[in-house]
Amino acid sequence: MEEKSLFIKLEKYKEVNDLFHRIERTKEQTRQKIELMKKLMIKEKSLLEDFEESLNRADTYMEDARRLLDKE
Amino acid sequence: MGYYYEIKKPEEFRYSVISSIKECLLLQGEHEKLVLIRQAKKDLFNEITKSSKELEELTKALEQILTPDELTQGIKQSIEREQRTTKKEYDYEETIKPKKINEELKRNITKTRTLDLLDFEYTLQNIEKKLADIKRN
Repeated sequence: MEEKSLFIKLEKYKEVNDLFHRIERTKEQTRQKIELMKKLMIKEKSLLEDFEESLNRADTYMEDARRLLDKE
Repeated sequence: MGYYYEIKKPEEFRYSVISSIKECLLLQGEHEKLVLIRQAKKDLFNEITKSSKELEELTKALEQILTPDELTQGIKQSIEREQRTTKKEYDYEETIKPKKINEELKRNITKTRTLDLLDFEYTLQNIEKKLADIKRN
């Protein structure tokens, strides 16, 4: 009887142990994905800033060209 | 029929137009990169959602197996362990004071962090030992 009860306990702890490992693994993977997401967001922000600067420069050049034409 | 302008400063005009075109080409390249990044973000977001659901299911499974007492004990141990680890990690940073660490801990502690693996392994070893004794006797 005692043996049976211990076997049940052992099975339970093995199951818990397995679940614990799976949870830890999934958590670690999720953490890594979140870190990657953060990096992508930083990259996106910097690209958008470059984008804006480039757009402003293109505008300025076109304004210069237009001004030259208007002078003629 | 197009218009013809006799421009007095053709070099300056050409420079402005070419520069503007160059910037537009740059913009095009940056836009392509942006599209790729946004696609990667979308994929990653889906993966994170999937992982979160998986975590939720695993935690539920764990809650079903463990008794409330075991869960409470596990949560307590996990909080203590987390505080020890986090303190070591952040001690060198003067800007993060203990109060902030506690706030951070409160936010981050979930039931998924509740179980102390070492304790379980220890219990497992004890049970296995007892079983071996029973079989021997």
